[in-house]
Amino acid sequence: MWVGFERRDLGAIAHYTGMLVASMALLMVIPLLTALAAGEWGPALDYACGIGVAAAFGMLLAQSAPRGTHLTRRNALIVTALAWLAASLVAAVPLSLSGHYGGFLDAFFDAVSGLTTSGLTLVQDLDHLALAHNMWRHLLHLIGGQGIVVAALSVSLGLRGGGAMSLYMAEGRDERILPNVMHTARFIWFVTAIYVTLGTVVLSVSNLIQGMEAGRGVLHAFWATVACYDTGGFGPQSQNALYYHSPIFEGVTVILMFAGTLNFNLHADIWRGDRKEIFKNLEARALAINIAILSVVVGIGLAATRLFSTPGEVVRKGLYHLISANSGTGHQTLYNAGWANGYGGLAFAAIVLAMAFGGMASSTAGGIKALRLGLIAKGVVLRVRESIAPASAVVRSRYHHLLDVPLSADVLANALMLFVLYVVTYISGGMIGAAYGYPIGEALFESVSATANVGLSTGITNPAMPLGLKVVYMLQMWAGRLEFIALFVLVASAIAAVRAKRGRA
Amino acid sequence: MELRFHSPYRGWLAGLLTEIAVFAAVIIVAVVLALAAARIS
Repeated sequence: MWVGFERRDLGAIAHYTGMLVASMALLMVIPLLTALAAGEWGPALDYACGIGVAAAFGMLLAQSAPRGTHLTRRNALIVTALAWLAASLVAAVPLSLSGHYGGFLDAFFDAVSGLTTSGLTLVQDLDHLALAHNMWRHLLHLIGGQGIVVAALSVSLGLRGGGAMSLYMAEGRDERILPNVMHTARFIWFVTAIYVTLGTVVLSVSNLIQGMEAGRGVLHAFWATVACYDTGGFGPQSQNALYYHSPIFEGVTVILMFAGTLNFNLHADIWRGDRKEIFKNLEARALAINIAILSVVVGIGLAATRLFSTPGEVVRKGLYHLISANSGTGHQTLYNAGWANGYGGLAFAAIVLAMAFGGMASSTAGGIKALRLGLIAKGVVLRVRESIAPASAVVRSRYHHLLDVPLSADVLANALMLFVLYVVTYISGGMIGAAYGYPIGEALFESVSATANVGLSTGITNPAMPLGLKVVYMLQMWAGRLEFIALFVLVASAIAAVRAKRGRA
Repeated sequence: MELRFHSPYRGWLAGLLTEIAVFAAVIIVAVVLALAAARIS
């Protein structure tokens, strides 16, 4: 049943959206301090403006209802969909003032890409971007990877009680890790802090050994860690991970990509001492099988191109891209154009499939997710077993994901529905790209990369691309990160509100 | 029924090391498979 909005619904939606937007003002203090410390006075002014806009816009919206206002499940989904859009808008303000973007839309594209942890970018002259702007671009990955709601909970902007829990669940998290939502948010940040600290220390040492100047080495290490752990893909250099030419860098960042793609509930179980869970878990098994099969395909595919001098080079380049694609990171050690011109065929298809499948649910990864693929595979096996069993037999199936659970028709239907939604979006984006004149293979690659929040590119995504395609990719990144439902609720509620208004007129 | 939540903070180091060991094992298996595939191709 479509239910229209009452005044208090709109007030609650505006209030919570405002709170989430206002939290962006607090987070912009970090790049502001970076700019001041580095003596970047122009960028410091950009962030002062950004803080002003985010604080004013956020607090204005937040005045629409008193603190602690009740938030229904539907309204929480609408707030989540709107907050990701509004947060991207205010996040784009300092970027657009940097002079490194063709216009506000390009800066908005990068803000959406950053927050959704996609990594596709329209920045110009990246190699000369100010430290403060690079800090902000990578912080967007960190905020988006943990979730805007989790980030806002951490800075305690009045998001407490039932409203906070509804928002947390609406942001694509499926289970509570701890009984209290604030404790859950803290645990997510605790895991992140451990991995980010460890990654930054190891990569800093690696950068110093490579001869990088100390301050720059530490900043690059922090940014690469955040970009890989949050499965984002931005980098401070236009050559991305290829810039470092370092096996240590590649090894550490691959470990961070795995850590980022692990379900936060699985982190919690393992850290509680249940170490066998990672071996029993359907989602972990599905991801491992997926990587094993695609490793073989990438190995055969890249070796067949005869573009690499040794099998070792095939494995180094191929696996880095495979894990980067599967985890939804998008870091690359090959040039974009190579995917369009040189590495076609099997390896190209394997990378597209890896991006489309994605990592684990309740992690920072995008795509269909390994849990859903595992459930669908279990469903297929169940159907085959039912078909060959005697007519009187009752055939049941179970799976292990944190608990032993019976495979129900509801769970299977939900997994299949999201599988279909992702595939339809992948194909639709590919067809739109083809309609703009790009080869269908490249257009499909880019569409899958945007929807699954990966960030690998064949080169289609660049500042000169058609405006319409920029908007399509932004919508795909937004829809993919929120797993469609919050977006559909927003659209359906808007239609219901218009109908209700017409009915009253 | 009593629901009891064990703290995930106390065993964080052992958990972290377990995770890194598992990630490294998956990478090694993937390297072996991809290397074998590249040599055969």
